[in-house]
Amino acid sequence: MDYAIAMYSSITVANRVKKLAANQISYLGIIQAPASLGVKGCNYSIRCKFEDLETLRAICDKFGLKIKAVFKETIQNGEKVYIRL
Amino acid sequence: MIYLDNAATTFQKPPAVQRTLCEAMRRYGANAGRGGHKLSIAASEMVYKAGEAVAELFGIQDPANIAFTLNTTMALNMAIKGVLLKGGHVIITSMEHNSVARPVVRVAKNRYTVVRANRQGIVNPADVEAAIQDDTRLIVCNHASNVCGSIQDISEIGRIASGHGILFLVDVAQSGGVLPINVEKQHIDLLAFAGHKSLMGPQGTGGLYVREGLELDTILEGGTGSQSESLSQPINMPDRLMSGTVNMPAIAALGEGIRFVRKLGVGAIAAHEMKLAGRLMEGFGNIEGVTVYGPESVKNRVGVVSINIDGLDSITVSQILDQDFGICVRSGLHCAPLAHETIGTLENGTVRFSVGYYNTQSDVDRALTAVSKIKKGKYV
Repeated sequence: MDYAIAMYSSITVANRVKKLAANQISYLGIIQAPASLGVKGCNYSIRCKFEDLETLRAICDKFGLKIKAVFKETIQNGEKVYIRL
Repeated sequence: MIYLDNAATTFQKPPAVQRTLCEAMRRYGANAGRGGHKLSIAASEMVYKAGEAVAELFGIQDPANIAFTLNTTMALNMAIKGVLLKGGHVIITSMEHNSVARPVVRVAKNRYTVVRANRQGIVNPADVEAAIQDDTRLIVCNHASNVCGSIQDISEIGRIASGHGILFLVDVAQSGGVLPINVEKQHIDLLAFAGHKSLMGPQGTGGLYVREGLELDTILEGGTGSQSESLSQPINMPDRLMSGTVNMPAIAALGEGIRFVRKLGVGAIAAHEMKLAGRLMEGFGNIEGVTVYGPESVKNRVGVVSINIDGLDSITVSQILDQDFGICVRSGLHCAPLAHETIGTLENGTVRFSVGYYNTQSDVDRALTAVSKIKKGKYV
């Protein structure tokens, strides 16, 4: 299973996205994405199924909620890998 | 004991508020927004949900524009100084609490105008408009007086402020939860509220709404759990105004208090309190030698009824009520000298009876009997 990680400027924004998307996306969680991904800050992010990323983007666009960075989380050779989109 | 000091803080609190406060400490008492673990995320969700409840109550579109504070005073200081640190003229009314007057006097120096209310504690919005100067940046108005309960026409004052492009700050410490408030319809740019009064939350809760796009100067900077790589305070709300660990258990409980208020309905709570306040006013009016302050009609006030008994010091009256009748009220000056000056009680203060949702007609009747006996000297 691949996941999308959408990073936000604060936990408040992440909570708002989670609330707004709750009925449209099957899985949603708030996580702190790894610092090693190279995005400065506290990295509060929404993690959802990768197939739901476009729905997530559309919701954020609709409500003017800026996504700082988006990553694809996947498994390669048994290792978790993040690909910046 | 009969508690008639709800203008200071409401007591009792709804059972759900008490439960939520305890549960937050027992089950997810982590630091909201200061980590990625499950308990921290859960704590941050509780704070967010409380923000949603505030937003729904006051017609605020984005809960992110609400910063939780320790009380209304902190919210008012953040708003007043946040607007006026760079200068400008400010208009306040003579019904303001010291939580407005003191920061205004400090930060605005002599660049402020006090618009006088009438003897009943009502401000004429036209007087506010007449006080506007070229560099007026802010109008501050107390929605309902903590001294005599008078209600100001914030819709009209908001319309005036908006029409002149001036920021409008409303102090709803006494009205939030008992009067309908809508920041959009009433042109409110900044709204300072108490969590622990008619919103039924615990003490140590309050907040400030800041209109979308309005960037206040800060009076407190620090850790926000966001943009931690930067040495500058974030611009985005609520982080800009919420530095340091928040009072998560109390904020979570406040959210429950607001849900309680919304479930009952602001109108229903107001009707209950107006009925009790009306009974107090009528009863006091029938006791010779008792002066009732504030608007003559209960329709123009919240559940605050201030009185004095001829020949008796207000503090003495409250001590007798407490010690001989088991009735809790506040007396003296209620941290609002401008308001006392306005209604003519600056020297003796007032004996303030303030009803809440949990008061009954029996509480009010016992208070009336007690005052009648005190007036007749038959209380020992």
